[in-house]
Order: sequence, then C-alpha cells, then structure tokens
Amino acid sequence: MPTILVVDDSAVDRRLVGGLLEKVATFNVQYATDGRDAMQQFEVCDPDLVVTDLIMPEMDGLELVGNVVSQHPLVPVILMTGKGSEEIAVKALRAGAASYVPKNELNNLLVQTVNDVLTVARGDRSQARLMDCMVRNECTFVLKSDESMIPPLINYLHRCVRSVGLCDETNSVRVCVALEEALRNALHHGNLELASSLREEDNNKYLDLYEERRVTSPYRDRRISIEINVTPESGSFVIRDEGPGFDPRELPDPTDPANLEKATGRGLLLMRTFMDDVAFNKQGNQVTMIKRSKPSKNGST
Amino acid sequence: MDGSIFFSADTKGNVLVVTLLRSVGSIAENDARDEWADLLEQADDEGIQHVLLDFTALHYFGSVMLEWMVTLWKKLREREGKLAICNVSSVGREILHTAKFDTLWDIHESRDEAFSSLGDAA
Repeated sequence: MPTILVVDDSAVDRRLVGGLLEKVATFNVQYATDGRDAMQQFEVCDPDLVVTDLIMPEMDGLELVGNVVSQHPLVPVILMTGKGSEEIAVKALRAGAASYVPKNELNNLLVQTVNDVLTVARGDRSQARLMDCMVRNECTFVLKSDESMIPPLINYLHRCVRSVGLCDETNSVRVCVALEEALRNALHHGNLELASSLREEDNNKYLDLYEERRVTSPYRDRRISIEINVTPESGSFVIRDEGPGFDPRELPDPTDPANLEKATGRGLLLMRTFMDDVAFNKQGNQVTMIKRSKPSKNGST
Repeated sequence: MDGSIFFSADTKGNVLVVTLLRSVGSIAENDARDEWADLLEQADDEGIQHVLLDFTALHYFGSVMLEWMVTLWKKLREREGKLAICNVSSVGREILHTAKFDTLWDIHESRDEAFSSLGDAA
C-alpha cells in the first residue's frame, strides 16, 4: 500500500486531503505540518509520494520540493495551489514538483492525479533498479550547443558511475563536478569561443555574446561529443568540442593570491582535483579525464 | 515567500541570511542569474552589513557559484562587511579549499556558529 505524506499547516485542510485519499483509494496517509516536519517524517514513514500546500511557516512548499528532489529524488511531490499562487507553482514545477492540483478542484482531481503520478514514479523506480544491475557502460553522446542538456547528462552519468560501482556517493559527486565543468568549458569556451576575460570585464557583454553565438553559424552548428567507458575499475570520459582549442598552459593559476578574484581557470582546477588524470589533445579541444576506483580498507569503493 | 527556486533570503538584524536551494550550473541560467542579482540588491540595503550563506540543501556546486560568491564578497568588503558560510558538505568544503577560498571566508559547522562569527550581528 503506497504511503502518501500530506503536508499542510492547516489542520482542517490536512483532514480534508487525507479524507479524500483514504475514502477513495487504498493509501496509507501520513501527515506533516510544514516542510521541516515533512523532512523529519521521511525518516519515520518513508513516503512514496508527497502532497503539499505551498504556503507554510518554517519550510514552505517550494523549499520542500527542493529538499525532496535533492535528498529523495524518486519521491514525487504534488502541490496544492490556492488562488494567487500560480506563479510560485510554476517555479515549483520547474524545480522538480511532479504535478499540481488547484485547491478548489481537490474533490475532482486529487485522487486521479495521485494515481497518475504514482504510476510514473513506479516506472522511475523500476528504471533505477535496472540501472543498479549495470556492470559496464560504454556509450557516446553528441550534444548541440544546448546547455539544458548538460544537467540530464550529468544526472545520467552520476547514476551510471554509482551503478557500475566505480565509486561511492561522495566520489561520484566529485566526478560529476569535474564533468560539469568540462562540459561547460567545451560549450562556452570551446564551441562558442567565449573568453573568461570578457566575463571579468563586463558580465552582461559576455551573456549577450553567449545568446548571439548560440544561434549564429558557425558556433551554433558545432557539437560536443562525450565518449564514456565506465567499469568498476575505472572511468574514462573524453569530451571533445569543435572550437579552435586552447593551450591550458596559458591559463593563470587561479589559486595564486593575485588571481583569486578572477574568473579564469577555476573549472579546470576542479577537473584536475576531482579526476585522477586530465589530459588535453594538442589542439586543446579535447579533454580526456580518468577516474580510478580506490578500494577502501573494507574492500568497498 | 517570494517564489525563488535557487536562493531564499531572510534578514536577521544586519545579516542577510541566504539559503542555497539548488545547484547553479550556468551563468546563462536566467532565473538563477536574476535571483542572484536580487540578492546582491538586498545585500546593498542600508541595514545589511554581513551575509551568511547556508549550504544545507546543496551537495555540491561549481565554478559558477564560486564566481558569484566572489562578486558578493567584494561588494561586502567595500563596506567592511563579512561573508560567513555554513553547513557545507564534504565535497563543498573540498571545492572551497581547492579554490583557496577557505583562506578568504570562514566556513562554519552551523548557522548559529556562523552568526557568532559575525560578531556585531543583531
């Protein structure tokens, strides 16, 4: 029986929502009075789905969505929206909420929405279980100059690195930091040929040029290829852009006190810190990053 | 509640308390940029002297966030304000250490400790 956590600071509304769920369907309904209480309830009742009000004291619905997405990514959140909270609801959906139900439509829509979202969540969980069976992953992605593709790729690679068993959660986050920096370098400084020095001079000019180049030839036609080979022993990540390349030796040391306030070189520094090997080709438009498994004392990675 | 999805801000005495809600991956992300610009404006308010950044909800961040923190810090420095940071994950601490930013800013275990470090904060 799925457990639904109903979050609302109004006792009357909690009873109303809980009553609707218990009356029509076979749900185990649990309650929390605000976002903070809800996060504590996660430890107690391990919910399959959260139905939350938006406006609450302590931690509101939007902040709750952020916390659930980051800490319990497989648990969907449905928002209950009142009149005047549409704009916030849109932001919550963009922040990762699964769906929303207007408060004046709870009678008609709540149970159906909960059932629909639970069906999708079951599929997500099956997918996650399947990913846990992965023992090796070798694949190639080719991305357009579309920055919105980077977060889902990072999420996939995070899951891949964990599933294959290359490293533990902390090290897989380190890998993701390095990959994210490398991908953004390839897009911004590689394919779009945007210089960090321009960002230091005038951030708005940098952004204007970013917007212009991502829709202008030849920049918009360039691609980023990502070749991945992950085994339990090591991960190889080759990221290649189609820009003119650069000489990494020319980058200033961002940890030199004289450069601490500059924008240049920090991404590469993080890549070198969190990967075991980082090497560029001669042209400087391809980086190969290696992460090796480091067995701990008890044999796990 | 102001509908922010990347940062939530609250004022406590002369301290602007900012909770980071989700990772900022790109300076080209309009919502994040707009929200950060709003925060910089709030930090400019007459009654604000210091800023406290609470990383509780953020596992990690990258060079974009570091760059934005530098911008904020430079602004505070102009009026002898401080930047205090708290509840940073282990990876987050590594990132700050790698960039040598732990030499610029104090990193605290808790929000209370960060408040205490700001001394004259109300």
